[in-house]
Amino acid sequence: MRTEADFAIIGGGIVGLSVAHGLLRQGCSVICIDGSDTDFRASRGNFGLVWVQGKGIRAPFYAAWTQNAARIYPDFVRELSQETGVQINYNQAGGYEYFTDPQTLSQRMDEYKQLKKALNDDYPYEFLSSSQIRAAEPMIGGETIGASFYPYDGHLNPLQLLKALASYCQKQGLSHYLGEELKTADKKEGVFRIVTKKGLTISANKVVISAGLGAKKIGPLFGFLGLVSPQRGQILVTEKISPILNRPSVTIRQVDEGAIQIGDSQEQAGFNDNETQAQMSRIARNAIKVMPKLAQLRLVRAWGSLRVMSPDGLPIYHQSHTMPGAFLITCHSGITLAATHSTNLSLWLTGHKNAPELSRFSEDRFHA
Amino acid sequence: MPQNFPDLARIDSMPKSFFYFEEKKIYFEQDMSVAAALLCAGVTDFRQTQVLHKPRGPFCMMGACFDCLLVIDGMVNQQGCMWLAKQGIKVKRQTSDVLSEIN
Amino acid sequence: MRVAVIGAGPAGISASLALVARSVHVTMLDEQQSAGGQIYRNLANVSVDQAQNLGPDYITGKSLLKQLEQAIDKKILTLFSRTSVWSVTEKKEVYWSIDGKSYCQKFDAIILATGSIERAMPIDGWTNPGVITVGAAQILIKTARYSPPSSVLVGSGPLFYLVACQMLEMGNPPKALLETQNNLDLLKAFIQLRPNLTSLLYLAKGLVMLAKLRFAGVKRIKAVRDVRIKSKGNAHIIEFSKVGTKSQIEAETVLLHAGVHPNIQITQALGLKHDWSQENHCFEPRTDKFGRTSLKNIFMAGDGIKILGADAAKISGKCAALALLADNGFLNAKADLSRTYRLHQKYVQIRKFLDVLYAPKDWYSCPTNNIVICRCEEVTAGKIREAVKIGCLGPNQLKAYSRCGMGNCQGRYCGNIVINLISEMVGQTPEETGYFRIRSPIKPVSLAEVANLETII
Repeated sequence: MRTEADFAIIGGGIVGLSVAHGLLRQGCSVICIDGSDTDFRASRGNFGLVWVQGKGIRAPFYAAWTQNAARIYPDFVRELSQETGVQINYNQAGGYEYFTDPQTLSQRMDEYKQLKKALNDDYPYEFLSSSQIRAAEPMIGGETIGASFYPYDGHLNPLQLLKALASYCQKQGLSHYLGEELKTADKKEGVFRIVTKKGLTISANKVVISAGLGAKKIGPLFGFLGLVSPQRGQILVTEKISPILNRPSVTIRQVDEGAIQIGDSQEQAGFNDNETQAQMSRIARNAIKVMPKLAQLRLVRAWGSLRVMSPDGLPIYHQSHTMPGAFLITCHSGITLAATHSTNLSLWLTGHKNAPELSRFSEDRFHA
Repeated sequence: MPQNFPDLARIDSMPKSFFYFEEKKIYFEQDMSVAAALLCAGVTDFRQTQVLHKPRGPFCMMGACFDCLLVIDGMVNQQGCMWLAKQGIKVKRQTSDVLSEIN
Repeated sequence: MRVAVIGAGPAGISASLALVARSVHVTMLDEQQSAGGQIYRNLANVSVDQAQNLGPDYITGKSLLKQLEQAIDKKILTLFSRTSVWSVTEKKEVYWSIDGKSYCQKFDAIILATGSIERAMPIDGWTNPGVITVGAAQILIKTARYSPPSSVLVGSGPLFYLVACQMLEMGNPPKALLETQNNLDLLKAFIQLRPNLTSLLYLAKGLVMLAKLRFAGVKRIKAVRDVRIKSKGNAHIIEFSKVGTKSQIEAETVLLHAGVHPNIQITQALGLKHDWSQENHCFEPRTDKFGRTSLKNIFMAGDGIKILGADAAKISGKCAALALLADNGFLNAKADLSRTYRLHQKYVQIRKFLDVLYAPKDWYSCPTNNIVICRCEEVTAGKIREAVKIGCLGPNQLKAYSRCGMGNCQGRYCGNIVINLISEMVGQTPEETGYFRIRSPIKPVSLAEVANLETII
C-alpha cells in the first residue's frame, strides 16, 4: 500500500469511494483514509434511493444537477457491475411520492410547475389521481388521494453499490487505510502531509474531505467551515415477501431481497442514531395509512441513521481558499449522486477542462 | 427420525388430537409444539431457504434460530417451535415462493 | 416500586421471589408456554416418572416453580407467559407482544434474566434438516416425551452428557457420542482446577453420568476431528477422523453441542458494554459482582451474564434482587447481598475447569470456505473472508458487504463465531472488533402492533 499519491481522500463511504472511482479511472493514484466499523457511516444506513423528485425546489440548479446524475446512473451501474461482478440491482422505472392531504398535494403541484419552468421545461413529472395510483400500485389504499411520479427515479441495493465501489477501487490500486483518525494536516511546498493518530503519514498533491459528519472536525484543518450537522432518519424493515410493489416511493420501497423498507423521519437528535419506539410507531402508522395491507407484515428490524446535512440541505463542493488543492465534498444524497460524483466531480478535482461549474455549491454561500 | 407410531409407553394414551401438515394428519399430545410434533412424525424439512433454496428444519427448538419457519393457518414465517400444537390448524412447508400470502 | 423481570428461568424466578418477599410487585415476562426457562422447561406439566428420567436437578426446579405459583396466586407477582419482549430501552421502558398485541410499560427497575443459547457449531452439514442441537433434543424430551432414536451426538460439554443420560433413561440411548475434546484437554483442565466442595460435587455428578453411559454400553469416541454430515432425508452419514484415521457412522438424527454462551440481544440493544471472555469465547455483558449494569436500576442475573449453570443462576437472581433492593432504600438488603454473593462464587471454579476441558475446536477457529456460518442469510466462511479482504474491520461493515448477521436470528448464532473470524484475520482483539449493532425489535413484531401500541401507565 502506498503512502504517497496524487489524491488523499479522507472518508471512505459512498462519497469518498465514488470520487475515488472517478479519479482512478482518470489514471490518478489515490489513497483513502477511512474511519472505523462503529462510526456513523451514513453510507450503511440510507434508504437506497436514486432520487430526483422533491429536491431543489427552491434551488433549480440543484434539481438540474440531481436530474443529470440520475440520467447517467444506468451506465455507471452497468459498468461497475460488469467490472466487479457485484449485483447492484439498480432499477430505474420511476418513483412516487404518495399524498394523503389535499393541501400538501396541491402545494407540491405548484412547486413542480414552477421548477419545471425554471428548468426550461426539462422536468418530466406527472401527477396521478387516486384511482390512477391504485391501478398502478395495487397495494395502495387507505387515505391515499394521489401521487407524484418522476420517471428517472429508481432504487438499488446501496450496500452492494458500496461493496462494488470498494472492490473496484481495490482492484484499481486504491490504498485504503481503515480504522484511522486524523491527527494533523499541513501543506508544504505544494504537498499535503497528513498524519493519523496511529502514526500513518500520507503525502498527496491534493486532498478530498468526504468524511460525512467528520467534516466538522476535520474541515477547519484545511480551511473549511465544515458546516455539517446530523439529522436522524429512522427506517423500518419488514420480513421478506414476494414482489408486491412495482415502484419505490420516497418512504416505502421493496428491496431486492424482498423486504419492505419504510421510512422516514427527520429528527434533530444530535449524534444519536438510536431507533426510538415513538418514531417507529409513527412511521408504521403513516405507512398503513397509505398501504393498509402492510399492517399484517412483521417488522424484523429498525434502525436510525444520521444524515449529513448542510445548512440549506444542498451539497457542498468547495475548494479551500486558504489551502488550494484541498476539496470538501459533502451531501446527504451520496447514493443518488454517486454516478455524477464519479464522473463530473472527479473532473472538477483534477481541474479538467470539462469540469462542471460548481460555484453555487461552494461554502461561500454561507458567508452571505 | 422415524414415522409417528405410538411406542409401548404410549399405547394406553393414544393421542387423538391432530393438525394438518400439507395433506397429512399429524397427531400430537398436549404441551407439544408444532415443530416437536412434526419431528416426532419424521418431518425434518420445514422450509426452503430464500437464496439457495436449501431445505431447513428446526435447529434450536427454543425460538432463537428461526430455521423452523412454517406457514400456519395462512400466516407465513411462523416459528414452529413457538406454536403450541392445536387441533385442526393447517400447517404447510414454507417454500421460497410461498412468501406471497399477503391477503 | 414497579419491577420487570425478563425471563422466567431459575435466575428470573429467584430474583422475583426475593423481590416479592420484600413486598415489591414484580411483572415477569417470558416467551415460553410456561415458566421454568430451558432447564426447567415444562416442569409443571411433566409426570413424576418422566421427571425421574430427567434427573435430580430437574426435580429441584419443582419447589421453585411451586413458590412461583403461590406468589402468583397471592397476586403479588404477575407472570406473562408466551410473551415476546421486543424492546427494552435505557429509560426502562419494556415493549412486549402477546396474542397479537403489543404493550409498553415504563418500570422503576428491570432485571434481565434472559439466559443463554447454545454456541453455533459450523461444521459441514450443520444446516441439514435432522441436525439439531442437544438442547433441542432435550426440549423434545421435556415437552414431547420423545427421545430421537438412533442419534449420534457430536461435540462436548456438560449438557452433552446430561442429554445423553436423559435419552438413556427414556429408553433411547444415543447410538454413539463423537466427542471433540481429547485427553490433553482433560489434563489441562485438571492442572488448573483448585477444587472446592461445589466443584467436587459437580465432578462427582459428571462421573456418575459417564458411568451410567459406560454401563449402558453407549459408544464414546473421543478426540474426533473434521466432522462432516452427509444427509439424505432422515439418513445421515457422519464422517470424522480420529488420530488421522477416517471413519464414519450412520444416524437418524444428529445432535450437536459445543457449549452455551449468554444471549446478549437485549444487552447489546441497550448499548451496555460487553467484555470478551477468553475462556468461553463469547461476549459477556459487563456487570459488577452483584449484577448491576452501567445503567442505574437495570440489573442482570444468571447465565445471561456468564455461564455458571442453573444452581448459580438461582443465587445470582437473588443477588440481583438484593442489589436492586439495596439501591432503592430497602435496609438490610446489603448484608444479605454479601452473604449471597459468597454462595454464588462457589460455582466459578468448576466453570473454569469445564471451559478448558470443552473448549471449541478447529471448526471454530478456521472453518473451511464452503461452510455456512450465517445460517439465516446462507453466508459461507469463504464469503466472509472475501468481504473482510475488501475492507472490513468489524462485523457491521461485514454485515453491509455480505449480509452476514442481517437475517432473522440477528446474529444470535453466527455472532461470536464471526467476531472471532474477523479478529483473527485482521489481527485485533475481539473487543477491538466489536459486535453487531443490535437494534429493536429483537424479535419480530407486526407493523399493526407497532402502530397500535398500548401504553400501560
